[in-house]
Amino acid sequence: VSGVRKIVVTELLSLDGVAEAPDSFFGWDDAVDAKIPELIATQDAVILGRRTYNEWVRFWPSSQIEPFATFINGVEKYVATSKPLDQEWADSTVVEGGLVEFVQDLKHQPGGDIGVHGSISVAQALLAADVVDELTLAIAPTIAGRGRRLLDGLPPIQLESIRSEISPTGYLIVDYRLIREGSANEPASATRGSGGRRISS
Amino acid sequence: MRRLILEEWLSLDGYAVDTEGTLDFFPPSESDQFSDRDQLGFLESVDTILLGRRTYELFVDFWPMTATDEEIIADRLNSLPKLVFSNTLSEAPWGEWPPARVVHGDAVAEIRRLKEGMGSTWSCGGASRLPTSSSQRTSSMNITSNSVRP
Repeated sequence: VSGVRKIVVTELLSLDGVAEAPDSFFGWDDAVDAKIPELIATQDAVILGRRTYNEWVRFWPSSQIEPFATFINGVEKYVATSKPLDQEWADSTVVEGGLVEFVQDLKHQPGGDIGVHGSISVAQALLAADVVDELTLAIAPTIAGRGRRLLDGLPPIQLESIRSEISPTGYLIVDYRLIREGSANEPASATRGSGGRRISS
Repeated sequence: MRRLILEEWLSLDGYAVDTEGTLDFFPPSESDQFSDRDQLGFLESVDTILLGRRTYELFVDFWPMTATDEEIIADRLNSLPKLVFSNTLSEAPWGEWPPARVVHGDAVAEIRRLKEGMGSTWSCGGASRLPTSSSQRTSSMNITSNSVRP
């Protein structure tokens, strides 16, 4: 194991890949719930986009939804924003300079895994820059039909699924490892990147 | 009433074909042997295959000449009755096997009519043009975890 921290992106998606406003299509069951403590156990920093920060700062400080409330309120939060933040939240820092450079630097500092939760623009920028190590998706058995999609506009990326399960109510929970150029791993799967024909748009 | 089952092989970002119209983003791998067995079980559960014209043209260049000792689903796929939705084809031969029936005109109306008939289930193998136009009206979308390949 190298000393470099992993960047772990976690997103709730509809089957058609929409990551925006998951509350409108996403439900929870025990298997989805069980994923949360497992994910956050290894994370001691998170990177949030401005929109996710502004929504979450209004919700989580007074929330009693555990264990995520304790985690997100106490964890080191780095916020990618070019504007001042609406409200203060303990342990939050605005990212100065370029996001990708910041994250690459953070990865080489001592610490645990670095999480990206929601924050679609941040997730997309880090995926496109090839600095993400793992992508955890919980995919709802729903076609949202509208909303921002997580995987639009990305270059082709090779993924390897390292764990997957289907929850009792039909949520597909998959952990992918991103395969880097020159990696010893055989590409087992892929996203297609832009180009090609989708069955829904 | 018969069920219409839509089956697609997708990239994680939802592409059903690449820019060349192929599925080359599914590289041959060990996992194919699992999905082939899964696919055979699926084909044994349906009694008719619906195809769009493009998928017909793709399939007919390969499957009628392919035997089950090369591809375990070949005999089942070749022997199932098939409908091809096309306004340009007049016939749809399938090698030495019985030809597919060509359906002209309104695919949705034809599928609605056929669903009232006798039979078990239906499959649209990779015919991405067709289900796009009729997806509002499918009575069942059985998208298995295997269909949504990473």
